[in-house]
Amino acid sequence: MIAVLDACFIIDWSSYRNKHLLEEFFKTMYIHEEVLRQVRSPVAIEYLGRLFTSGVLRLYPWSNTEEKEFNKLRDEVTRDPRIPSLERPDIICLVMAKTLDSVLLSENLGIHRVVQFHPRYRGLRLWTSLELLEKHGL
Amino acid sequence: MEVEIPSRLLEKWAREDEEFRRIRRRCADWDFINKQPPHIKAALIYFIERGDRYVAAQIAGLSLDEFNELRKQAKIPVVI
Repeated sequence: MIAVLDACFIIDWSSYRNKHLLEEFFKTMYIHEEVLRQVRSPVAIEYLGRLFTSGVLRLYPWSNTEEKEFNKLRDEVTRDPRIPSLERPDIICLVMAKTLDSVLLSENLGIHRVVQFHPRYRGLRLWTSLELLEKHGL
Repeated sequence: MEVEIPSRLLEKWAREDEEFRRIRRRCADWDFINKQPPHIKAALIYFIERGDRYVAAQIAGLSLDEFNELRKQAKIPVVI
């Protein structure tokens, strides 16, 4: 299974004593460079460094096609005040997960709400850290 | 072009937002929050009311990680 990681998930998960479980759940994970730039704490950076070194985490090769989808999705969701604010890295994660047909690991309420209503993103598998653990019987 | 959001979802979100806000307000360490410098206090209160870590971090002038540590010290849970 493949996963896309967002910043809030990484920041929370990197403090978890059983964080090694992530590599057991997913053989390949992707992160966008703009998400990586949001992560600054030594604990989270060290954790990501280890994931990169082991080869399980990769930087995502963002394309022009995805940038077009980003612009379209941004226009559809960011002007509505009833949806919690979404920043560029959040929308990028949605587009990546849809392109890869992967699981999106996120603790972001705005992302969760988009997946609840948006016709192109409704089928996306979106898990918080608690849901990830629950799905693996922990 | 906007995408239509069903009214039942909007009602559900409004109920959730209110419940999440109540939880964050109840759990928060208000003594800690009230002792903070103005921009930090404003960021923590914003997070309690809206639950958005990214914007709260911007208000505080902190990175997402740094604000997250502050949030934990203020005992404000992430509710989702």
